[in-house]
Amino acid sequence: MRKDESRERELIQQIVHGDKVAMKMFYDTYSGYLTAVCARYISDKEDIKDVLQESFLKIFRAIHNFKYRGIGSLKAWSARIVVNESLKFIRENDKMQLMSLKDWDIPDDNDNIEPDFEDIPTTAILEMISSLPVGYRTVFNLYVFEEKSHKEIASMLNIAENSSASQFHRAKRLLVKEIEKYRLNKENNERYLAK
Amino acid sequence: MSDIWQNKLRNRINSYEETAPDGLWEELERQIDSDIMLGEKDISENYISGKVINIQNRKLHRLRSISISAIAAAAVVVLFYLLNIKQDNTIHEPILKENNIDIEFADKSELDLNKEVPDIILAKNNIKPKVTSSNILTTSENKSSETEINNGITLYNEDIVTERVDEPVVIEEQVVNDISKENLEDGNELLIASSSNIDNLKRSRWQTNVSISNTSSGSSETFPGYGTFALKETVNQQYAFLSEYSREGAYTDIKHEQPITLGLTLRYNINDKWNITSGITYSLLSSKLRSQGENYYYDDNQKLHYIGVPLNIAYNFWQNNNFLGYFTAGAHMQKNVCGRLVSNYYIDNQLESTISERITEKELQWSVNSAVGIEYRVSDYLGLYAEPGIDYYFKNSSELKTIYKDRPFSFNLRVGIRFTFND
Repeated sequence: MRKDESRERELIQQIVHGDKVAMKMFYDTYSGYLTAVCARYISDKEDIKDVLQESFLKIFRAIHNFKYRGIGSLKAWSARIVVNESLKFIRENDKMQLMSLKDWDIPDDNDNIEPDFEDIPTTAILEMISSLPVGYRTVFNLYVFEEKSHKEIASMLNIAENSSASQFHRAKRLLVKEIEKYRLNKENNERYLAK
Repeated sequence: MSDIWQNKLRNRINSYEETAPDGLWEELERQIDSDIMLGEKDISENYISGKVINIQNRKLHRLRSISISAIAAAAVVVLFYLLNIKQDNTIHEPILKENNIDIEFADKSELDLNKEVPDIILAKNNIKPKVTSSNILTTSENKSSETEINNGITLYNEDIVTERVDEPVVIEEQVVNDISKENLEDGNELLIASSSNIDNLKRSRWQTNVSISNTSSGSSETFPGYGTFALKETVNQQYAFLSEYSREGAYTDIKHEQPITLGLTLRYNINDKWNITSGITYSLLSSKLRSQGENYYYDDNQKLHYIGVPLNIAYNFWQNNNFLGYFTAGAHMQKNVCGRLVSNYYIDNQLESTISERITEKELQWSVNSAVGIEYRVSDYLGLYAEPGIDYYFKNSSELKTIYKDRPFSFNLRVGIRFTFND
């Protein structure tokens, strides 16, 4: 553990000094995770690439300001930058979609419904999330994965606080439906295979 | 409660990875190479270097706009300084002559006799004590002619008294006589002051104001969670900084200082009652923000500079010899010309790092205002005034946080000096 820590510290120092090999090492270590983070927010493959490229450049540029706090801190910090870059991209490109969802402030009838992902493979979950409309998806991701409050989300996306909450509930409901659909498909497939 | 499914989902997703897009590293490498080509040692600066050109361009633009406004302001000042000198000559001339007392001086004062009455009063006020002093300074040879001058003027003084029956003038005559009797030299100033303001307003069409104003107080607010002034680059740094800590118990303090506005304006008196004022203003808005968690915090210091053009109309509702009361109302257009956001990051009260960023607001800042003013006229050409009033600032679409947005409605006090130029 100690060894890993000092190795990572060294890696950061090398990146600060412009060592390209160190940058490649960082890329190899974290690009998979950071791509997954980015793909939660952005669905188009080319857009993901653009956002990631910008994010990596930002990471390398800002890393001299980063204070190392043990294993995991670099990963979390980098993910924050990716999330921020993704949001920036959404704000610039999908602003209309974020705005148009402002009106969804009708309270949902079955609020306490909870999606049960237990038996669903991760790739399928991610597919479901990325199939959500941009507004729902962004709010859902920020709320669940970045653990933001609705107030914070509202200020990040420039939407009303209750709009963030209602979009989250809508997203949850849609996901519950998607899960049901997935299970039904799976059952059908199994029945078909049994025959 | 319902957080359980979220936690489970988060844990699953957090360990999930996806293959990076094809060719991403190759493109990154190209970008990094081109940055290293720029020949800078520190990679962190390399990436900023791409922006330097932009910033310099913007800087140029900003410099240009500032210099244009500065030149405009300077032109206004110079113009009125020149006007001031021109107008003041009539007042200063006799005073200058004081140093070389001779017969010519007496002649001059006699020529002055042909001029209009108010000027003569001024001239007389200046000359009277001087002649007395010349009695002391000059040799006995001139004595006879001096007494003649003295007589001439005294005679003339009487003429004025008979010509103008206004009470103030009579009082002044008494003062003149008293002072000349006592040979008090500094009586000069006193006399000029007391002889002013007679039909002053009728003669002065143009006035210029130098003012400073201040709102009654700043504003502050506190809320839980993190906050920031930043909109661009600094946001990333703050994200980076905060990502290492939990959000629990975090809070943010925002404090907007009282804005200060300096103004150089020109007033045109349409008639005795109405006048309009316009010119140029400079305002400084500064704000502080602190976002704080357990053992760390960051301070944002935001400074914004505005250049503005006010347009006001005023109505004089009351006046006497030395005081003038008026109402004024108008609009003020302001444009942010430059600004800076400095963020300091502290851990365990130790300064960890500082980021400085240029910020600017494209949108115009409009406001309307109304005030009641009182002016004390020190002399013909100098007045002091105070205008307590109210301002209302309209929201613009800019995302910058300023006191104008936080407290659109505010009380303020403007104080200033007003110079008057006689036509």
